[in-house]
Amino acid sequence: MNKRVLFLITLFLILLTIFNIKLYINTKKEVLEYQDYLIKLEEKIKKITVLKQKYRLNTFSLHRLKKFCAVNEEDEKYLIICKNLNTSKFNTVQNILFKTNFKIKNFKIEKNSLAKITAEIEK
Amino acid sequence: MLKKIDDILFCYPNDKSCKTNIKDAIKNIKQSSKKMKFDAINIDKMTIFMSGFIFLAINIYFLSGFINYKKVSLKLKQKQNELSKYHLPLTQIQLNAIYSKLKKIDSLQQIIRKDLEFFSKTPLNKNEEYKILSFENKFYYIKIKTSKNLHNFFSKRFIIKSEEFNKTSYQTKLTHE
Repeated sequence: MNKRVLFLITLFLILLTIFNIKLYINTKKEVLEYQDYLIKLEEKIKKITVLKQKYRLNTFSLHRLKKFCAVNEEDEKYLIICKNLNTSKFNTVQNILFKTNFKIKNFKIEKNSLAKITAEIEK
Repeated sequence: MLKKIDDILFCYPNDKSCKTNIKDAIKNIKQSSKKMKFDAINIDKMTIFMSGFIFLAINIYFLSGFINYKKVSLKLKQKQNELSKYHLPLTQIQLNAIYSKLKKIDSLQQIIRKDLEFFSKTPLNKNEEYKILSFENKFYYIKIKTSKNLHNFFSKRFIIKSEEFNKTSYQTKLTHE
């Protein structure tokens, strides 16, 4: 076989191999980075979804509160005023208000012979 | 018989005697300083074939790897499209902002619930009770009908901003900061 032809073929194969290895490494790196990005993205979306779900306005509880309290809807919040609560109603309102995952902005509990609860919850 | 004709060695085909006296004939010829080796590349075909095969195998391996990674990349892109169904922005900065906002809400709400749990454990006698318990702008305002000074109890969890105690009631303003 002609020496020059053999040399050129060898050189071509070596260059082709180097090119392929480089291409392989670059692609692998790119895919791993992208995979890492997607894993982080998925985790973050899961966390956000869980929190969004947790603090989604519980309309059922809000509806229950309306039995005992006046519920006024404002732009970004609900104003809840519960007056003349006896012990039983007071406990019920407290349970609904604080054991449900309402986003409580502020509240005030006043207790005399009858109790009064006012609270602001975010939508 | 090997013969020299015009500086060229000549032999008739199938003349076996050529082989025997070729070395003697070369000795008598003035040779050129330039030489050409006809067997310079003395590699057998098997070696060339094997080397070529190895090179090709390496190239096919890396090329197939490249193709596989391209396929994985395509699948990842499909997954990203699926994630976009959550109606959330897909940039980390925007997601981080949403997440930190939600996390802030969550931690505040958790703290409020834990504080309320703490208030429920206030050491009060039977005829003693909370008169006012309010929360606004990170401050709790508390008024309790009691004969005890509850400073030590509240200071376990809160920073006491102000307090007032007389024989029948205890008032305080509490915060975490």
